[in-house]
Amino acid sequence: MAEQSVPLLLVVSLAIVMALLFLVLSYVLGPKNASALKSTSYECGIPARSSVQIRFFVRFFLVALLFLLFDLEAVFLYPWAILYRGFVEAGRAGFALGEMGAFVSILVVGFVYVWKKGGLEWQ
Amino acid sequence: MTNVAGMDLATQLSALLPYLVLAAGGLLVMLVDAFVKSLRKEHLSMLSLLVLLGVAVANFTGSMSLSDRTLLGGMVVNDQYSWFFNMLFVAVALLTVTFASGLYDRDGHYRAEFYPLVLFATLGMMLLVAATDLMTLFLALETMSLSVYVLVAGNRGSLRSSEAGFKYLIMGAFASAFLLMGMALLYGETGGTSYAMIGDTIAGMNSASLLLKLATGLILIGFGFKIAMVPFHMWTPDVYEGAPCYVTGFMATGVKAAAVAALLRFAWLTLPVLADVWFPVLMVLAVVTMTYGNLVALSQNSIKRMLAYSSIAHAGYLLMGVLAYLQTGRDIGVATRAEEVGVAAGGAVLFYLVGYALMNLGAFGIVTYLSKDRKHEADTIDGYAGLAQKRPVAAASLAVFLFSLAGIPPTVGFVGKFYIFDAVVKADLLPLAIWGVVNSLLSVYYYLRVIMTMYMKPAEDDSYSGGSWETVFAAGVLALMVLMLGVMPGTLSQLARNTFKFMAY
Repeated sequence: MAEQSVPLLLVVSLAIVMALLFLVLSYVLGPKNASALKSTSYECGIPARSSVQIRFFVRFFLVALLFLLFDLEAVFLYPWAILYRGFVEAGRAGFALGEMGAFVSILVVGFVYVWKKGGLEWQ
Repeated sequence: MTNVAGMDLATQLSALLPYLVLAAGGLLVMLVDAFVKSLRKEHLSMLSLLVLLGVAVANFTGSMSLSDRTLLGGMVVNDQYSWFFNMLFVAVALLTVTFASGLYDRDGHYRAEFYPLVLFATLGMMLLVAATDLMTLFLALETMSLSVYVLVAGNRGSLRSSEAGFKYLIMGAFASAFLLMGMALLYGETGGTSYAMIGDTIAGMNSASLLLKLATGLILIGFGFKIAMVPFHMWTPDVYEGAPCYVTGFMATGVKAAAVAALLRFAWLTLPVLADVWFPVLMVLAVVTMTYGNLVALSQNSIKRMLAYSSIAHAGYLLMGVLAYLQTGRDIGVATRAEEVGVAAGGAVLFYLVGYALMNLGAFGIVTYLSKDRKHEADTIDGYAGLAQKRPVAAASLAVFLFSLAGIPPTVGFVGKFYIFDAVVKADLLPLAIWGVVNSLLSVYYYLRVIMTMYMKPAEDDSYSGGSWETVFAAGVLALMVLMLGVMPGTLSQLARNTFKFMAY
């Protein structure tokens, strides 16, 4: 295992050395003409209009969270769908379907809860 | 028609009944909360209590008729070990719900989401102990942790509570990352996630490989966070103080017991590696953990913070028991009587966890009882002045719990510590046992300070006065149990030893 890691270690150390080298070089060799214009933040060439730390309406957060939740849960359907044929061939389609049924019904309860509690309303 | 691991689905499901009842019950409470608007919120707590009682009955009737069973293709196991802890967790959850409802009553404002969260956290704890696959272990840990993160932040409007929740979430995510990395390495080294496969691979090895050492170390760190082991304890005081007091009690007893129980099963699984590599490290950490917890607790003025540091110190005592067990895989002299020492050590840890749950939950129950509402908790120790005259039952119960935490006979805390030190001595670790006794002596000071305040100082106008009867009733029953188990520990101790014996040997 140690022998296998030698090339990997070489690459990593080379990468670190190169990165540091260029940072130091550009720091040492580069011209330094500081001006007020240079220290302003760059936003596609347009002067920055206000602070970036503005307030968001908290509802955005909730909607994003719920989207993430249900979207991610839906992703679990794909591997199940791929494996489902194997279950059918093994004569265990009912089991696989039941498992997914349980999963989805838990999801539905969560969805109903969110809906009933007003999590989907904007105001 | 469906055959999973040689057992038909119906049998498996009936063996899983406690978990199913709890999961369905949690969902039911959620739905009732969302739909039945006319229902008074008090009924949610009744419903939760009913669900928990149902789980207790299902656990009691189900597991007694079943022997050790690996279920769902090796994902969970239904053995006496999981049965034992299921009972403990259900009891802890029952008491937590009772305490919380009393405070909500006084507050006049129910937090309905508390109930399903407690139920789901309990489900996570139960599965954490029953897990025999790294996947289940992680899922259970997250089910428990995620619910508890929200519970900690349950005092909406209180900055401290939000801060505590946030802190716990960040630190918990950190701990999960360590745990996951360890699991990934363990999988890489053994080629499987099931305990059976990991155990076989480790047994077939002559000496532990570097990856295996690293993997077990990372997993130990993950557990270390959950049981508040130094140096992974940083979150404990702030979180325990910020969380609502009934949630703190739930965390200090339930979450800690679940993590220690899972750690013990993991220690059994990877005994050769842990004993070989991590024993010295764990020994140093155990010593530092109890010493640090006790020393810092000396100067606390908030009772929740004091109990938080005491909880760190108790993590140290529990680790001593785990160390005594690990010694059976390390020391050649001890290995000749491995089963005797191992059963003594494991049984002591199990007994201590039950005793600790009783006394600590009771102490937090009294804190909850004395709190005026959720915003004004009975936190500063000065406020306990003169409690003995004002609320004799509450003061006496709290005194019993604190005596027990300090390890003074005739309480369960004394017997628990005795078993642990006894196991440690049996494992030829005498210096460790002596250090444990010194620490217990040290801890007497800060526990007695509260008792002194309650009994020796006159009541003041702003002293705490108390609340609903069911809380103090439950706490009183707990105090009686603490005393009873201190006098007659035999049955429980025997059960704990047998439980560990069936799991490990």
